[in-house]
Amino acid sequence: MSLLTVEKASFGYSKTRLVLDGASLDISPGDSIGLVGESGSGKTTLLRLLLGLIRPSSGNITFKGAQLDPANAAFMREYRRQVQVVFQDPYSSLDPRQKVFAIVAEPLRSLRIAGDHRQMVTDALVSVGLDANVLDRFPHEFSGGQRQRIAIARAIVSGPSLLLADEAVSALDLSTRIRIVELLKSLSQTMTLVFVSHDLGVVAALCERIVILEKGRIVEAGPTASILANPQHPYTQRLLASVPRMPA
Amino acid sequence: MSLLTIENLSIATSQTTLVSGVNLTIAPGERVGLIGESGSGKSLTAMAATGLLAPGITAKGSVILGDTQVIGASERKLNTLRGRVAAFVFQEPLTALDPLMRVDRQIAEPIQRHAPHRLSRDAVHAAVLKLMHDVALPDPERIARAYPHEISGGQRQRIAIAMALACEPQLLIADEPTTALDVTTQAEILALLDRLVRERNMALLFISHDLPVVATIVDRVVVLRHGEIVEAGPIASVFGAPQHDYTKSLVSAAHAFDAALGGTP
Repeated sequence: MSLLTVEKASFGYSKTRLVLDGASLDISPGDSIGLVGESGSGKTTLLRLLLGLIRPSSGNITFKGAQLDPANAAFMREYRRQVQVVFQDPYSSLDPRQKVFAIVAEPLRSLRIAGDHRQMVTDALVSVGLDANVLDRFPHEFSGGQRQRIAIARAIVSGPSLLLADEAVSALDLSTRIRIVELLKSLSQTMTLVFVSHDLGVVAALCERIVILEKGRIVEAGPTASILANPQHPYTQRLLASVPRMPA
Repeated sequence: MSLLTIENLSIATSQTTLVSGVNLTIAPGERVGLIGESGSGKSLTAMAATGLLAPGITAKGSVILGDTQVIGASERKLNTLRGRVAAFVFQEPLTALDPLMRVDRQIAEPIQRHAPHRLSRDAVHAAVLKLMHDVALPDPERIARAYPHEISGGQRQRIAIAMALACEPQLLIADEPTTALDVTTQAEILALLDRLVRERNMALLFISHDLPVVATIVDRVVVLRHGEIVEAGPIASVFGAPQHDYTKSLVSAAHAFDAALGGTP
């Protein structure tokens, strides 16, 4: 059974102009999917729909067969536990006034998850490659890559089945970026990953499937290897041809 | 004779040294890339080349642009160099342009400022349209009357490039000029810069954190880390056989993402 299904979802801030137009997507457990597009392609809108932050103007989103309903508090509590997110900028996504323990434990508190929070937070930090002794430190004491690790620890502490990431490595330097991609790749062995990015190289390194968006529409979707080797849609072809390559 | 000669450049605040011991020369028509991660000092080095460092940040050593020593030179003296000997294109065209001024007046400003005598309105307008044509802007008459927010990011960057070209500089300094752009737009702007630099026989100092982007546009590259040069040389040797561990880690990361893309379809 699929984990998350998007059926002909559209979204617009006005009736005449849609920012997402009839997007359909089927996410199965264990998938790693890259949503790729340029500015204005609707990739972030699609992600916001998946997070339940906005509702589709038309179309339907179901999670494990049940309708995603942002107004249903009980459903959303379970949904938030199952579906977590990592944002682009680790400098703005971590509360500067809170220490690492409080930041990472936040989902456990707000979702009222029982258990030994200190142990759960420590486990999450260790699994993202951070030392347990960082618990009592503030975000400003960490580098960008370490901050993104903290944000990832917060996203996985509730044991989600689906991890969404919105340009999660775009703000990082190259040598840091490759380490965070490696971390996400290892996490994707145990959970489903939806990775939104404008960077085809990163998506190619990380995701098994690619969905290409242009101006609010999905123009092409399929296994990463076949899309890269044999892009069908003219936009995908143009996108691939535009990526600067390393000299041989 | 070289166009820009930087010798033993150090840049510091009252407490911290930001750049130290940087040597760099650019000959007329030469294309040099300056690469490094955030905080490596690449932008500071470029700013120091035209004396654009913020108050409180001081440069020591020697920076000779054209035939003028930049360090210690008066603003008046520096203003004769800026735009004419070296001109800048910045990363974010939306902040580099004045949001309240129509595009044509922004391009006209450097033309009028550096003109040897007062130009007629028609002459300025013609020069503006000529520059807009040179940077391949579609429908220049319409875009000339637009405000920056009314045009696309790629068009804005073309405007910024037109402004930089206005005084026919010998050296174009481009600081991450495509980083804020979509990948298809980036390809267009890189092709434009490549053509303009070639046609006008300009030298280019191209600053970027993106190795494949740098490789498409320059011949020689300088790698900065923590304010010091760790390696320099032709693209083929620095990217093909990096010597320093830091360069090796950058090149191998860039190759990893590049390899994931496979061969060109």
